[in-house]
Amino acid sequence: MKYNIAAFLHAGTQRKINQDRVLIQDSIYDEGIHCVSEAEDCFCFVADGIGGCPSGEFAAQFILEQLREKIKKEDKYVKENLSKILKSINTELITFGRSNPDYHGTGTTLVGIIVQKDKFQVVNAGDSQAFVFRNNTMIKLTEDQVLDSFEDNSPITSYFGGKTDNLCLDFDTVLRNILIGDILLLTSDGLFKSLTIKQVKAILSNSKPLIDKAQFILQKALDTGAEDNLGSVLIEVID
Amino acid sequence: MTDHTTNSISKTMPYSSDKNDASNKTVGYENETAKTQTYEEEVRIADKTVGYESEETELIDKTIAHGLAVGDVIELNDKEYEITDIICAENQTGEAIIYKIKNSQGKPFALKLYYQFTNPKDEPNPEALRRIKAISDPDILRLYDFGTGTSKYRNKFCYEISEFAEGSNLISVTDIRKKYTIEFLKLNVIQEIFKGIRTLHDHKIYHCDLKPENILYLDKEQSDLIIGDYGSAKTFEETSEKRLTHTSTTKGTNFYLAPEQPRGIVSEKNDYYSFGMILLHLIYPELVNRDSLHKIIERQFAKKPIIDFNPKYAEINDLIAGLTLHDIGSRWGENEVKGWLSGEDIEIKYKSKAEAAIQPIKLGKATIRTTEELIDYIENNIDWHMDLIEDKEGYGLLLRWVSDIQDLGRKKIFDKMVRNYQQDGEGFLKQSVLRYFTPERPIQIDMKTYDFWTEEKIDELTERFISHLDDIWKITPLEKIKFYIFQLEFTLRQIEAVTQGQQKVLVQSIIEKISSALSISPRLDFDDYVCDFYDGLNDSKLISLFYAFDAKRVFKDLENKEYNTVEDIGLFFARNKNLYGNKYLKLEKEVFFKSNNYSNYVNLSYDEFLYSIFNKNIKSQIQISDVLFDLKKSPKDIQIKYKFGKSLTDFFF
Repeated sequence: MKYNIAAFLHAGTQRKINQDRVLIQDSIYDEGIHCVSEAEDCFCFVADGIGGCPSGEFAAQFILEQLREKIKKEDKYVKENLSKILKSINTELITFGRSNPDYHGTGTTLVGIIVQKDKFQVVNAGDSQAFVFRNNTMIKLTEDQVLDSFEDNSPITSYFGGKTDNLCLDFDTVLRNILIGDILLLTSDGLFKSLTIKQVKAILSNSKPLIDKAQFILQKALDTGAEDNLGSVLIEVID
Repeated sequence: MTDHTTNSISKTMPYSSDKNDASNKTVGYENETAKTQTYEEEVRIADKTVGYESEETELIDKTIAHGLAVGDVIELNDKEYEITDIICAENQTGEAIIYKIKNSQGKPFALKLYYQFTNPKDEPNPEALRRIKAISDPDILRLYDFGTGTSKYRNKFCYEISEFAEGSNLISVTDIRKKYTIEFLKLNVIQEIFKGIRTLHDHKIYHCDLKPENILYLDKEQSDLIIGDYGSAKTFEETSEKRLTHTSTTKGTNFYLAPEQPRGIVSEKNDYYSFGMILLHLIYPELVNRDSLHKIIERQFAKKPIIDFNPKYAEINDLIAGLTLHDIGSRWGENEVKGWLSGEDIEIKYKSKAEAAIQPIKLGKATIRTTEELIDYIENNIDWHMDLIEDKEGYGLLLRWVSDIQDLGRKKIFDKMVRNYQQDGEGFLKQSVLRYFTPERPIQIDMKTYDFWTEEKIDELTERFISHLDDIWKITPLEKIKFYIFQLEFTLRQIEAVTQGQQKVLVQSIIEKISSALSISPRLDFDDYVCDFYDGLNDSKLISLFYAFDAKRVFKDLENKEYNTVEDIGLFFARNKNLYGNKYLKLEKEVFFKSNNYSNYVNLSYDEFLYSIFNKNIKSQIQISDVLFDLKKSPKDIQIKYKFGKSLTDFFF
């Protein structure tokens, strides 16, 4: 299988800084629209810097840079190695924050997917989200790690960084397999504060190229208000 | 298709906020540590369980933080103090360092010197500190001086100078259980903390960060308790609950934090909630961990007591239960605690009046209150999936309804079940939801109904069910067959879960038989409602299943006519050469021949196949009918010549 990948980032209409970052294959982005065509594998992450922390965008950038550097190709899909590496990155971020007052307590969420040959792994920490769009249905793959999932803006209970270690990695996903035609969506929580599932579905179900879908979703979110940062990755599974 | 094989703070931190963000979330679980460090050397608290992620407690490099060391003299508000000790290199919240200092007369104080705040709104509330400074009360740690805003130390660091508590904090003891007996708690702890809270509230100050580390022993003998640490304190003129504006900050250490506090709702009840959690810590120290807190929250939502209280502590359990009620209106406050202290029997209202009834699901014009109404909605509304599952609000209502009628744990199971079967399509999801709520449903295959719930001879019914699938599988899409198999497994597992005795054993044996036929390891339980039989099902596994449930099964053609011998099968293909490549018949041939020790016939070409079966027959027929065949020696290159020029087909017929 191969993958078309598209990503978009925007600070939104209310904020000056975008604390979201995305990692697509080997590139990290903080704004704009980007795409990769016919990739042989998939290594994509979205990090949402915690707004109340100092320099949340620093944490988001830091995590993705470390991921890119430390997860070697042959280790990508091995869950135990991935867990170890992610925990060590978390420790580094906390330690860095303690040594640098301007970054003390900086933190970020993370959601991502690694697909290599016939194996895949979803990872989540925080309240960013992963979905799969299949058979005209949006299926949420990850559970938000928050205190009360019924409440908007419920405190997140797991994240990278912060002042003390609160990371609880979630490798569980309901996704059993990846099929040709699937569109995976990784996103910070800003997207579904602006748009409904129905709206996003309508865009994903049209026959336009993936990059067009990404642009349309972004534009729709901005037109609706986009009070929060936007950072999302779309991954289309093709033959 | 890629298979899953590894199966596989707006976010505001408690001490910071994004002033531009109305939707900031607070971060929970910050600063849950297994060690407390205040006013003494680090003391290991024997009764704390390991549950939180380990805390890294290495000291921050002092030269980077404040640049202060023991022996340094600092000037605060025109007064000089000498640093005599560093009590806590990093306090529980990671926001300040506690120093022991002395003035020129040698009097000791505690100096809480904060790290630099990046957002001024996170700084301690100056009005609260001003009021606290004016309080002289035996239950409140005396605050002598503070610096915020323009009076910060070195214009960077907020600080508080307070009385020095010689006895450290509430849990700086070697054995919590030994110290905090019920009698001790009643006589010394509860009264003292209650008085301290009332004093603050009388001055219109809410502490907002009550926790064991902020309850201090003034004396080395650890008998005189006072409330300290006012970094999160707030002032309010109103006594009713008030929602902070979105630009304000919510602070607090979260195990003890009232659930409404991260949402910006602050009232006296916040402190009473924390009071309850402190008592919980003292009596049930093993519960101070992340997992327990999750369970506590689940039970709060389920309107149940937060834990399974030990009857041994019956005298205090009610107090804890009343103080930790989720609903602010029902939660105990000053009057209730006073009543409890007086020996009154105070009611614990787990549900407010409004919450007493299950919250219905309101979808536009439809309102769903009961299971029957939900089933009816799903069965009769074409948009049920969009309304109840895909729509975030609708699904949230459904989940809340599930947790109301069942409990929060079931809500999670239901959610996971939904997300699992969504991947298989709306049909699978619909059946799973319907069967989840109303298990005793039959299975329909075309016009025939199979009711496993009412059938005594469930093994025979299963055989008939699978036989029916055997009759239709060649003319039915595989996805549909999978759907039937899914329903079969779902039903059998639900039956297994509720039956006892012989019937249970019978159902288990059926499940094992199916698992074996499909080469799947049987699940031990069905707690998560995940079915395995249909996932990965293919034609090959299906036919194995048919053979497993029909010992006499033989080769069946597309019309399900049976052929019992190799020769019969050969004759069938001799008549129907065009069907030799049919995928179903190939499979039928393969399974039959392998099970009858004719494996070498499986992959032969058409001519080779017929030759292999009939070459002996051909010779004998020659003798009988006196037809001569000229056979070349190599079977791969057969040419049959007839005396009378007949074709092979003609020969046979």
